[in-house]
Amino acid sequence: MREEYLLALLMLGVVAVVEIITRNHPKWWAPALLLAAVAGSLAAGMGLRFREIVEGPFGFLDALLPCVVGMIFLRVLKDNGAWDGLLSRLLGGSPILSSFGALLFVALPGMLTGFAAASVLMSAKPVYSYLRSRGADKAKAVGFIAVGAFLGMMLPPNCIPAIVAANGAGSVLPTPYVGFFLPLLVLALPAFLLFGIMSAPLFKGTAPDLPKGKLLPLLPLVVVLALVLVEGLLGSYVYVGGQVIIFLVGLVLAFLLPAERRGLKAALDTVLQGTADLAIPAAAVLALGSFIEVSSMNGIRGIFSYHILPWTNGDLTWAVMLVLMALSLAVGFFLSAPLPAFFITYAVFPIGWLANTVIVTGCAAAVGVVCLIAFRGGVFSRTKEELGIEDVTYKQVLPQLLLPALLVTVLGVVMVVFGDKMTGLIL
Amino acid sequence: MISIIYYVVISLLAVLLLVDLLKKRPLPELISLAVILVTFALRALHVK
Repeated sequence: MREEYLLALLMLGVVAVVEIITRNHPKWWAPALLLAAVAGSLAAGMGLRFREIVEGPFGFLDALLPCVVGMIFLRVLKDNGAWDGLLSRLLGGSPILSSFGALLFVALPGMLTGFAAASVLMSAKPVYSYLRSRGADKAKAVGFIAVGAFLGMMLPPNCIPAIVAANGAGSVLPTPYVGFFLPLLVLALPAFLLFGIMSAPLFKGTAPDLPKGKLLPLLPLVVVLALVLVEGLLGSYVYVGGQVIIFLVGLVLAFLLPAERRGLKAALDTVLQGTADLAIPAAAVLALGSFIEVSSMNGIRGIFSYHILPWTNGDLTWAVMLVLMALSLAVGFFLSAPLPAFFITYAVFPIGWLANTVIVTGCAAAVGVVCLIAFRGGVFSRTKEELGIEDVTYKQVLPQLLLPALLVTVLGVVMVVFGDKMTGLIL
Repeated sequence: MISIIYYVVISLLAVLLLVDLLKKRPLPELISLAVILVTFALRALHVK
């Protein structure tokens, strides 16, 4: 057996063992990946290669930076009271408008940071209380939040599965995370609209009186959303400085226009909390970079490319991508293992340098959907953990998750198959 | 100008992460924060 296969088995084995021991809890993903990277480097006889282990995450750094700054901005809004006031402003008079308003409230943090965990952290508790007060079933309320967080992660401007996919889609250098705004919108917006309509019955009960939030403290969010929209849709014509600058502008405005005045120490604590909020999922993405870099160094990715390249000529490229997407979904669902699913989908991308942004977005759909349908380590578990609810089972929530998951998957497949004809979406 | 802002933001985040790291936290959180801190700090030092 070639050495590269043994190294691949060792590295994946280390991740699998840590996952089994820790019952696939996301907080152990980064340590598992780092341990596997170190093991892969040592077993290849290359010693402890600090350079590769550290250099790998650099590939994700520029794309992750806006996500981290975006989370600090959101945390400032949350702690100064502006965020919770937004819910009452978004809820409309009719059940369907309320459904869309609440769904947007859940999705927004995921959209701005790319992480479903941000949506759960920011919006799960207020939306759960609101839904329960309107008489919604516990499981339905948890499902609503889980799907909202998933859709937020998949909607533009930021989407971690697409960032991971874009990074892998490069050959020598990673492909920058640019031009994904419209492809992501096309991928996730139909599911957002469908789920919003489907969830309207949850809002049929008598609406409780929520205190109306002040409008002025929401101005930073409005400014940020407007600038993000301009950058995403008109970025080729208008330069607004990038998302880091946009979030910094929002951050300054949020400090100037708080809903509740707070002291300097409280403000500093908020910023510190904002940097720590996404530490676990962000570190997992960076550690994935270490894993990938070491597997490039010790030849695993090379041997994979050697086997996969003959299939990339002609019409079979998309078929290979679809098989790997299906494998990723199967592993994610049946083993409830989002992390191995990440690897399988990532394996798509050594052939991915032939793929354009639309095709990469389609592949990313598989990783995103895995985060939704995994019964452990996915959005459902994170929502339950945040709400502290033990008596809602995966089986109760699954029917609610399936339709949005299916719609995003189908659109992902369409993007992979017809991506070459959909280049008009790349702005 | 943009480059200066980029390095200032990364440096500031590295400092904030260092302060976060000094707080009492569970081990996996500490490892996660350390991973991000090392990446940000090394990038911040890599000024061109």
